[in-house]
Amino acid sequence: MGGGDDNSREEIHDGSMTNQEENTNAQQNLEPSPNLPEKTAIAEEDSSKEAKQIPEEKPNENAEGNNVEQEQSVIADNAQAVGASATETISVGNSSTGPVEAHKPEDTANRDAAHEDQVKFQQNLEYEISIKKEEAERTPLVCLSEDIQKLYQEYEQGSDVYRNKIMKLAERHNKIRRCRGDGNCFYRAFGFAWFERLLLSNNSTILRAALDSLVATKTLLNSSGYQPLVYDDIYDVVEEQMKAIERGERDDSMLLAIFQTDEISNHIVWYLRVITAAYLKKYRQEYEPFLEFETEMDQYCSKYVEVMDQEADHIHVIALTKALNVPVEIAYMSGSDAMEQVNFHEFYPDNEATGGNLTLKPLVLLYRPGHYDILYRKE
Amino acid sequence: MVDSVARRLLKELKDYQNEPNPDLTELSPISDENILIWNAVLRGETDTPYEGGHWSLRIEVPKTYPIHPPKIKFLTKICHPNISFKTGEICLDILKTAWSPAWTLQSACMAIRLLLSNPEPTSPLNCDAANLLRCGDFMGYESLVKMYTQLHAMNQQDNEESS
Repeated sequence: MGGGDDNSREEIHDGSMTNQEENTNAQQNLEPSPNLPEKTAIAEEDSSKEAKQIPEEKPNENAEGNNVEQEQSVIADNAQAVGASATETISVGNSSTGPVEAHKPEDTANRDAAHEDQVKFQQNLEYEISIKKEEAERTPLVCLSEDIQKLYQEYEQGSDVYRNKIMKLAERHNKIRRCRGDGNCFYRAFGFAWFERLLLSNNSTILRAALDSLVATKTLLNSSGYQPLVYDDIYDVVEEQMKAIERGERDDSMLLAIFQTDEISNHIVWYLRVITAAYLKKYRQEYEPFLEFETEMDQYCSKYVEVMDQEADHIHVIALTKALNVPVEIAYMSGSDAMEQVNFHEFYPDNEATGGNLTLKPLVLLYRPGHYDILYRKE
Repeated sequence: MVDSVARRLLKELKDYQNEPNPDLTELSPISDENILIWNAVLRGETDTPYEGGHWSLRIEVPKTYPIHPPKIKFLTKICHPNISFKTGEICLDILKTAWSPAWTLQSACMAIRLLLSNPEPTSPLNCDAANLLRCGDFMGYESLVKMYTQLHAMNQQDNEESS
């Protein structure tokens, strides 16, 4: 906790004398008559000295040139030169001089206080994130499937809006599979549901088509400017898992174990992320208008799509389903009582691309504000 | 699984060696025994107060790389608002929360080089340098940076390049 404070204090001791006084000077240059406590007389004298040397139009550049000359002579002198325009009472770079705070102009102190607040805020934020993370880590990355009644029980003490919606949902769906709420839940839920659907389909045509679309993503990634260096090892992990399903070497408990293993599971999640990013970049004209504050797509992807733990948005869902040619239905369940039923949004890939994948039934995900889980439809 | 990390790192090494980068004069593991610890040397950008300087970076690669970011710090002393003068620790989002496997050791080093000329004084690790910038004293800032560049980053044989 105290780390930041200690640091800044030590920094101050390192080269601070020069800086503190530089501050005073700069403020002088900016505001002609500041209310500086103490040393005003000396500082003013200095700035007037400087003013004599410097033609008025471009004070900064010239002053800098001036400094450079001095620097080139001797470094030790230079240190003096930087500090020279300050008071003589302080020996430059000497860490044993008295407490720095004593020499601070008032508003520097204020600024430092503001900075301390900011550091505290940052620390609190980090603490909050770490608590949330700890909390999330109690849930496996992907859980065993449960009866949908378990979901109902979660809201027994809560709003009846949710309970009613779950009742409706239970008419057509019988199971739910939870995923860890770590910001990757959409991708992980998608990945697991997709692999599980392939496993259960036990259909070589469907599997071949899925493998083909997976292989095709490499071309997509290249065309969007990703170096093979950054993705090919990760791609290999994903492909290997899919091929193992094709070879009949996986059953549902193995699949679950794989998705609960940090490394493989995260590799799959990240590959789905980079596919999403590559697709959004390829069709940027179409999707850029949806981004807030006129963000540029490359920047958006490197901040919100490629980065682990960043939650998925609507356009990510569209991009991933289209890039992999996998249909998805998402049940949106919010606490709003405007609608009695749970709304289903269908994300179906373009018709012309569907080809061999026609027989793949849509994956069904449950969305509650901020989180995705997997749903199972009654056969 | 150190294997997959090693595979990736060897590819990165080869990539760097095939296409030398004049702004990153060195990038390699410090020994054959341990591929998880690298050394890099950054060249200061021209027309900045870092011009003419060379800074050594120490890179520690976690076993979960590239899902998790490498730890990078300055070994050579440097004066910059977002780099600790004492420890060489770097405050840069891509080395923390904004990391993704789409970065490489090389591109991460280049992002650090970009940080040098684009300081972010609102989240400082070096308050003195940051304060100069925040109160608009660019002259004082530049001369301070230049002084430390000359003091610490130019004592090698490559002084002649800059002047």
